[in-house]
Amino acid sequence: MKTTIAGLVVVMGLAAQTLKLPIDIENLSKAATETVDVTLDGSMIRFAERFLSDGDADQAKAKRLLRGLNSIQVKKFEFAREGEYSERDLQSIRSQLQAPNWSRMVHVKGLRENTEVFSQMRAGEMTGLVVLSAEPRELTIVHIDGPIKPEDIASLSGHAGLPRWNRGGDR
Amino acid sequence: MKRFVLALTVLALPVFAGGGSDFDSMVRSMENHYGVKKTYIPFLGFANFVVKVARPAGARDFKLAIFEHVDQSRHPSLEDMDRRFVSAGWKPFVRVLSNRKRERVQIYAREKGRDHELMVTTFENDETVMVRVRINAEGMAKWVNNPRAMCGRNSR
Repeated sequence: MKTTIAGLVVVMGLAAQTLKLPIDIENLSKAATETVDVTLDGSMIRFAERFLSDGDADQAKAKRLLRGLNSIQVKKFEFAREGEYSERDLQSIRSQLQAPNWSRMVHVKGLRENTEVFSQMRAGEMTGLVVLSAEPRELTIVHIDGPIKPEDIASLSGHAGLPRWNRGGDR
Repeated sequence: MKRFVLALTVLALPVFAGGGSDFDSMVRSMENHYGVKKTYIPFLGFANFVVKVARPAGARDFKLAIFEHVDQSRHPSLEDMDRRFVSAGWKPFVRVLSNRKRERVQIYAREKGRDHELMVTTFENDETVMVRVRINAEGMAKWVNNPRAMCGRNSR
């Protein structure tokens, strides 16, 4: 399964714990040909959820998943050439996603693409998810704050600002 | 003549209705910042009147200000814009920076009664455009569910 999504960044998270996009990463927007940021807080997510149909199975599932989320943030960089960002840039994000609160649960390393999924646990419940997707000319960070399971991400594809992707194929 | 003046007043009314809005004060603030007056756009009042009647894509009304021939070095930074808008109750929603097109789009959103407002600001070379659109719930839902596509559809 080649799930290309990507990354996010947690901005809110737990009261005493805030994940911020490192300055180094923010500076990548200078090298990127295009940078896109989408931020949805709880009220906007509630709004998106209201307009999903209960009659359609996919939309109904997306609606149920969105109901509990606090925020969604997507940040995507597109570059003209390869090598515009480094492993060090990625490491600065990973360093914020460590135990005890965070753990990397999925790591798909391909020839040209590297996708990692980090989950945040609290009292035995998954309370957040960060997807980091690195391609030679594209870097995406997605942060979903709220109860969500990795297998549910596909159901949110194309909703609430999240990238649209295909199961088993490229976007 | 009297009838003509009356008709003009009616057409212009939607633009000035609820005057003294923060859009107007933000436009004035931008004019002061650049030292340039916004460009006069003929029939803008009429266009707004049409929007109020036709409600394309759920839009109830809009306000538009274009600043031409501005000093590019004086474009407000991302952070300046965030500070300015967040303090007025707007939430950052979508931000697109394109070095290729030398363009920056920042979109903010906020609730306004039963409707929502979107403030779209575009900085491109020596031109700045500010658009405030009031849209109904359904229109806003389209934006929220696919902001990137809506942004592309609405950018020039």
